[in-house]
Amino acid sequence: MNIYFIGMLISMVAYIILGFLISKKVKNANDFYVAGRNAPTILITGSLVASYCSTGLFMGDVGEAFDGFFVPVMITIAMLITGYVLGSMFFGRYLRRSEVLTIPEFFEKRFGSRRIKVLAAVTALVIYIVYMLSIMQGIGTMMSYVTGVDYTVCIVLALITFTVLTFCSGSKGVLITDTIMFGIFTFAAIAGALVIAREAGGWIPALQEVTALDPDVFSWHGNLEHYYPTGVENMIWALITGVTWIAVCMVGPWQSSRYLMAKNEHVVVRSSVISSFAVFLIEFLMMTVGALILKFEPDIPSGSYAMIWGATNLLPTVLGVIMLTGVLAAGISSATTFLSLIGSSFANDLFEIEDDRKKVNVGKIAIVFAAVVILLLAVFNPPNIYIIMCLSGTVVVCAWFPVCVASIWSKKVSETGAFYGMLLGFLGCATMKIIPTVFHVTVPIYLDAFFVGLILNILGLIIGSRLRKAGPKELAFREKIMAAPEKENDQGEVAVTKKYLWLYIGFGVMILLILLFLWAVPYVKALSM
Amino acid sequence: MEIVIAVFLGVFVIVTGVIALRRFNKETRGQNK
Repeated sequence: MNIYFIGMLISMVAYIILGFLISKKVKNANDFYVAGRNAPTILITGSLVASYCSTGLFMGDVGEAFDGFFVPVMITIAMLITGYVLGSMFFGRYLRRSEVLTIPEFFEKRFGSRRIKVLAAVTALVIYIVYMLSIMQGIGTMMSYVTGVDYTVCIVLALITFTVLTFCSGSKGVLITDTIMFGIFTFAAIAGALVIAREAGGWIPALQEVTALDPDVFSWHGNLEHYYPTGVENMIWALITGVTWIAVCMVGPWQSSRYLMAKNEHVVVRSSVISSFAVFLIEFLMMTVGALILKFEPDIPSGSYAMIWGATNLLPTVLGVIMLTGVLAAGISSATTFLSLIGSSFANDLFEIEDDRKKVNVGKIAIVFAAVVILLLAVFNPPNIYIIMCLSGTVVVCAWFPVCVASIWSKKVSETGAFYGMLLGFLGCATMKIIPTVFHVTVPIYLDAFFVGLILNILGLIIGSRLRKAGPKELAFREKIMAAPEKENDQGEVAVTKKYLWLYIGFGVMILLILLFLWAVPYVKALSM
Repeated sequence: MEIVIAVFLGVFVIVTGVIALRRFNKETRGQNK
């Protein structure tokens, strides 16, 4: 049992104790599923970022940078953070006005249809389970690599932690622990990145040294032996993935569902602004450091281990323990969000329990059942974190995105259009993901699951809405959510929210300067040395 | 090319901020439809 394992065990016990303590404040289904709809900006921000940041970031994205794919992935990151603000402005606030417990319930109310709620719940469950699987594999891989403890034992320990936490305290506990974990891994990311950069001889000299070793690592086209053989194809991949993840951050159920818990619409907008910059900062620091590790040890067996190698070999022991506990916290915090969403999908959307106490109990049973299923899948699946995580993002775009946007911004979309759009998008995406995997064939980029699913969804929306026009009830519900509640028009609150949006524009300027002076200019200079 | 990408990404974020701010201003002036 080494120091890293002890650190992780202590943190897991602390999370469980916290779950028990918070459980005493959970009085009803509203508390359990939407944290009493009273969460302030800090808790919604913490949960948004913690739900996004998982082992997929600290192992998957960092691994991509280590493997020479820094720029294509960084393009997707800088694009996806805009999804937070666009999502809060054009979807999240309207979603919150509908006063639902889950997003599938929003579709039911918007279109007056039970079948679309069930379809949305089923597609959401697929997304949650796929994503949780990637988190579990990340946690298991990281813990067993660092501690030498068996992979299965590691994922069982993590699974017990986030299942007990979610089971006891529901969304209320998830919001609080997410925010604590957000603090831990953000501190770990910033401190870890600064120390590793110092060990490497300084940020810019180290970047230039890595460029001298391998000019492709920080180049616009990336490593041409990693995914696609040409820079243009890698750029197309980056843009498609960027658009996909803008959509995920806008309407992805594990992101937009956080807004249902917000105290008011101003909290929705403000938390999205802070989240966007926090995600950029963590990703930029971690991915740059991932590439800098090439200077110390270019022969790490898999890029997924780059951050773990850096934490255990380059950081002082205490900071290494905090770093790896932070990575574990990132995994657990995402898992708690997904598990609580699985509980609400079962109790609220599939079984439609009305009784308050029963609704909580059915959700808790679903949480335990889902945890067991995910454990079995995680044990029997080979670890391949990044690919699995990408799958869930594509499903969100293909099944959900056009329907979510149209449900707010179109007067013409009807229940028939929304239902068939979602169904065709989901089936098209799943088919085009399964065919290449099962038959080991490479399909042309225009037949990628993203394009096929998205086009089928839009076709379903248009044709279905023409076959059966939107009825008066559907239009009346839309009109209702388009009108801002009177209490949201407090001029003092409005003025503060406007300042946050100006702050976001300021973040845009900072991002430009960070990318320019901490990556692009030093890289170009290194090439001419 | 790297400098072009850095500028593009920064401007991309700024433009979405401007879009969001304009939308918010419009809505708080009661022109939401």
